[in-house]
Amino acid sequence: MILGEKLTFEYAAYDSGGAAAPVLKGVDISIEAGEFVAILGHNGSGKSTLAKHMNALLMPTEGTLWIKGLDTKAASNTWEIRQSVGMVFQNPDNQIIATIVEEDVAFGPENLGVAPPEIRKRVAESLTAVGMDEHIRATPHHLSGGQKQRVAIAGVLAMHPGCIVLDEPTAMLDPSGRREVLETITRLNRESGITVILITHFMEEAARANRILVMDDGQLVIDAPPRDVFRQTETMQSLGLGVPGVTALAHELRRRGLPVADDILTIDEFMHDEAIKSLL
Amino acid sequence: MIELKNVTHIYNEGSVFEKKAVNEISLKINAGEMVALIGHTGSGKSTLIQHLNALLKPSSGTVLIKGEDIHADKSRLREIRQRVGLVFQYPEHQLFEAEVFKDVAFGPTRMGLPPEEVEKCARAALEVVGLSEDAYTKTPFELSGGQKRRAAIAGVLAMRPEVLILDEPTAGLDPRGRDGILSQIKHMHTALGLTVILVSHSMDDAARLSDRILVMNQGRLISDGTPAEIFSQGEMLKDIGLDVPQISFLMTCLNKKNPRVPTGVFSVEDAADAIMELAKGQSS
Repeated sequence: MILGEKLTFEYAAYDSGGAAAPVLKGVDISIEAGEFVAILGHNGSGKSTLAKHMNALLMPTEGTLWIKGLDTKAASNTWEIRQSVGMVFQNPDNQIIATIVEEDVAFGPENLGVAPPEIRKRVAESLTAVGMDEHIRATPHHLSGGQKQRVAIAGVLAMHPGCIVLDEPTAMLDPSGRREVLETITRLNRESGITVILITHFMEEAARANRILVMDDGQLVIDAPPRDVFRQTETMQSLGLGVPGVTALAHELRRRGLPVADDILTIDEFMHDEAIKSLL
Repeated sequence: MIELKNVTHIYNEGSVFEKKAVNEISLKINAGEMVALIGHTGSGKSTLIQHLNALLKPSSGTVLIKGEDIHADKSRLREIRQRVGLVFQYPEHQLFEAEVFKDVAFGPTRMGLPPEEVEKCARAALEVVGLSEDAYTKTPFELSGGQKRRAAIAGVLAMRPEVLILDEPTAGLDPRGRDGILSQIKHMHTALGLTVILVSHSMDDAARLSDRILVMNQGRLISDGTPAEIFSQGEMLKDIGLDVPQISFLMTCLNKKNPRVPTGVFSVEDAADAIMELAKGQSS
């Protein structure tokens, strides 16, 4: 689905003028169709810059990125790439443009030149997929943050992308909004096979992915399943990140001599750990 | 310090868009308290805090600061706003000067303080938020997300408020930035004796920082207690779109299996202490 070789990117080189400071420094990346990948990294590590390469909003200064085999640098590929990889950003209010949910979701396919009956079908399907079909006639500003984010996701889905990139989609949401969005993207990945790339600062969210990429100073420093990533508590902390709360607790208990497993990610796993069960 | 008496706020009163955002809230916040205010989006938190520094006027009810009705004398609103500092969400979007120091100095300058006093206020504020001298002459664009937010908080602190209200101060920050801001807030609270009101969607932040948590739902204040008291009501919190810190939820699950596990624990350290205690009891 996504294949990048030696991706380097400098904002100065792109805008021309000014001192060049590379934000991406030779990133090799490969993401298969159907994966659920989380990207972690502290502010300024290059996560969002990498994400913007995935639908050709940015092009690498050096190296090559292929989306479904299409080189993002070729202008003739841009439309197809943007239709294949949809982006959802942090602030729901900046992404919704129409005054009615239905029109907002229709905006993407309209621009792709899809025929009206087909647009209607896609809008209905997309809103159902995110659980917002009842709100098709609603005014976006009357919706909650979680609902707006789901409308934004529906807007992307209506373009029938194979992949969705979400850049901190839950940063501005309350706990229930966060749950709604996370459940929606997990379901889209599992049930519809959509490739999901989730950029987040919440370790509990990243624990739900199949694979985690950790960025640091423009480089990909870790590429492993969540279990292997969060086992390295000290490394994660030294990268300015953390581990989920239960994982930290299990780690602390081990340090104090209780033989808890070293790869616990969820409350359920914690409750079923042999050492914990023996205490209950 | 701050007292609200039956405060109600109705937006667009009398029109079809009429909405009661704050409904009959009475509340007292004492000097030196560290209070967290939680509630889902649209529960009325932001409307409520804007009453505390007179940005909004209640449709009915009164807001008192040190026993004085803040709307009694219009000419004093400016002083009230200086005494109760409000840091909005994403405050770094409000940085506008070309240099960090100038931005922080803007408030005290507008207060009409003499230049040397302005300088002192700005320096003290930047020190409290932990920005080093080499950042003073930088443009805000050169700072990291966490640093920008600190600079913006310093801008409010430079006016020497007695109460500091922060709306979602950790939103969008990475874990290190989050830890940094939270420990700075704790530091300001203890070092300056500030009364702090923290509005947050992060149950972990609320648990970690505050001595008291206020819970809002549909414009009403529905719960007011210590973090231990509030987070022992997990079901109620979930029903109103909130949550409990992950560790508290875990401890509640463990408690259901073994009543000797304490609930009302939300930090990794305290939870580890409690579980080790249990292990010790069992091996002896």
